[in-house]
Amino acid sequence: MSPYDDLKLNVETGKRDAVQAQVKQALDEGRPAQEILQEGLVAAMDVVGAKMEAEEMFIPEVLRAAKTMEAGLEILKPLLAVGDMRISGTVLVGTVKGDLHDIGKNLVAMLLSSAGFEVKDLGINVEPATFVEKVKETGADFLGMSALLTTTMPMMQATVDALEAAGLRQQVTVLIGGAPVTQAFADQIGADGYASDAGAAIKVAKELGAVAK
Amino acid sequence: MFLSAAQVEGLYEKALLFAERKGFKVEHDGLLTALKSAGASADAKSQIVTFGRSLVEDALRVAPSSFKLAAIDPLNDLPLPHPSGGFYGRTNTGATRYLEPGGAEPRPVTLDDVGTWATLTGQMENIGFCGFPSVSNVPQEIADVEAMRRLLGASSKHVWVQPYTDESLKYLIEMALVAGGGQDELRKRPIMSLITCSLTPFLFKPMDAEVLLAACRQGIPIHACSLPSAGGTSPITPIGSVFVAAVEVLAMIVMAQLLAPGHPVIGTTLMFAMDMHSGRVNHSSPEALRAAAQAVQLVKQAFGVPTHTYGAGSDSPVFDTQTTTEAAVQTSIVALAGADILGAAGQFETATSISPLQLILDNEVMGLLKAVKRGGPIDDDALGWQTMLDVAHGGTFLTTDHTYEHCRDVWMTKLFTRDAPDVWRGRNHGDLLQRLEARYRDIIEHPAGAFLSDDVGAALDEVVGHARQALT
Ligand code: B12
Repeated sequence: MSPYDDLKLNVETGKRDAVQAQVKQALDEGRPAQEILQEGLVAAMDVVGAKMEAEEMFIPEVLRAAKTMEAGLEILKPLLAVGDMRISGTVLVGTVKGDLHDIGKNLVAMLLSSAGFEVKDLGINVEPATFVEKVKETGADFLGMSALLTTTMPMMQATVDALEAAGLRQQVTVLIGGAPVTQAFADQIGADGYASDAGAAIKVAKELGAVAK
Repeated sequence: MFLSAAQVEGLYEKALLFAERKGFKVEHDGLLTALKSAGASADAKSQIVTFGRSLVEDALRVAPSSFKLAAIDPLNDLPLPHPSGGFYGRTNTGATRYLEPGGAEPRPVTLDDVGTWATLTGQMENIGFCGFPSVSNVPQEIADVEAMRRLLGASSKHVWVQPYTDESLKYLIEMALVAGGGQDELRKRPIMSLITCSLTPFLFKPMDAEVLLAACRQGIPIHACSLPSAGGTSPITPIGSVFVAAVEVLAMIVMAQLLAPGHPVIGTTLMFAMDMHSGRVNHSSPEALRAAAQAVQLVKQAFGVPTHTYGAGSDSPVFDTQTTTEAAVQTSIVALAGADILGAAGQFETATSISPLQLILDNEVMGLLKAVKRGGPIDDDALGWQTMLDVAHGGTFLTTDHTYEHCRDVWMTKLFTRDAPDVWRGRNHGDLLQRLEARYRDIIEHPAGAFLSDDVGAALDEVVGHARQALT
């Protein structure tokens, strides 16, 4: 029995008010913020991640749990050092130029952020030059591109080339996805990773990790 | 059947309320201006268009409930609704992968596959018209133009065109004008119809506005299409998703009537539901199927236009018995819901892969469903009234005139077998898959000749040349 079992269950089941109350109570009891974060909130999301993979939790439940976790984190934030916050990396996501499909991209963005990544969504129909500019501007660790059309897949290659030309390719881990995209295509265009769904996207991003800068 | 009359009426009232209160975003200044001058309230800044009750009702009054999709060969014309209460099948469009008969894995679609697809469709008596899959071995900027050229060269049926970009639209229409015999002739006999899609929820993007404007200008029928993904782009509750699809279709009907009163519009609701484990969107789930049936009924009864939805297809990632089962279930439900056009023949993997064998099977299942639906009047002849009075108690009908006269009314299968086991073995006809393969080979080895003249073919090539020059 961990003193955080109740808190973890409340994160998992999306009970925002209860989680906030329990985080406050733990602080009042003199427990360190870092411990509450790791053994309570983060541990809860690890359970959620495992349950999602085992198809025991539905996506909206996972997203609700992540939101609940954030509500708890809000209270801890002022008490945590920057290095204590669990950020797996920063990710820019967008749908490539000419392509307006965003259901999959949005899902990837939501689930990456629920898994602790900081995600910035550039939207749809994103020009290669815009991807490059934003990578430069934000120094993001990952760039995630989505394409749902065979006719827009070449824009992924164009973006990788543009990153190369701008001298930024080595600074960012490039992930790609979308129904017509395959691992072979990722290899062909020189992307670092490919994932067939949002769950796999989290895994791949974690496995590849950010480029050491 | 899937909605009561009171439910249809209630949803219709809510749709009018929605169109008036919330409205739709139209990201196209030209269309916004045109709608405004035709009486809609449109705000240039927010790009929101709303339609008042009387405007909608006037539009529905002029939207035709019957018209014809003409075919390259007039023998294949498609009067809507189907004259004997049936429906028309149509093939998949847009799939990116092709499973060769006997192939292990689907591979990218080639231009030659479009020819094969059209040749097969030519022989499918229940598939009224053909779309093209998404070709990989041509410059992608003109993939739709190249595919349409190949389709026109190999098809004698009506063609359904899904443009990929607003730049290519111009060339697609030019080809229709060439193959259809010029502007006036195409207007009279539209051998092509176009798809225009909403960006669910409640938005119309520039390309679809362009398609709508161009179609209305040229008199080309449109399939006003909404593809909600329940739980993603529409409410997760099936009827909520039905409502989203219906109001978006309504918006397209109204816009078309404002631009060109009497313009032929087919209400096309392609219903998906998001899988809450994987996030994938599916169309074979019971929720998506119920939504498909209800959307068809709602659009038909409340708006009075012909309807179109997926009437085949599967979410299975492999071509197997799940594919054939899901496709047949989809055909059954949608046919019974009263859809005028049953789309998606030949597809699996949720519209991204196609199989010629599945196309042939879907044609057969559609034939079966048409026969189920045929019905006809209930009169003394249909009842066999006199024969019943004449027959002896405990007697037989087999030898009566009534049976003799009607024994050929039945639907004859070309693919399924009802042989006794030893007869079946003796005939050496193989199982269903083998029979599908045999039928496939037979069609491919004896393709029907080209329907368009060489001159028209050359003029079409010229259009493709222009597109290549301008867009690649
Ligand atoms: C819904 C849909 C639409 C909606 C999109 C709504 C929206 N807001 O996104 C609308 C109606 C607007 C639409 C429009 C069009 N569409 Co569309 N569409 C679809 C459909 C049915 C589902 C796509 C979807 O949402 N899937 C669900 C999501 C969750 O899955 P996903 O996107 O694959 O994402 C998952 C993974 O791929 C991965 N992933 C995705 N992105 C990323 C990124 C990264 C970094 C990673 C790691 C992973 C990853 O994770 C996601 C979550 O699990 C598909 C068919 C299909 N089965 O894919 C056709 C489909 C993709 N469309 C197609 C076409 C042709 C079009 C149009 C050209 C049609 C037209 N004429 O209007 C236009 C194009 C508009 C444009 N310029 O983009 C074709 C594509 C053919 C081709 N050439 O490739 C398809 C295959 C359908 C078909 N058979 O015709 N479409």
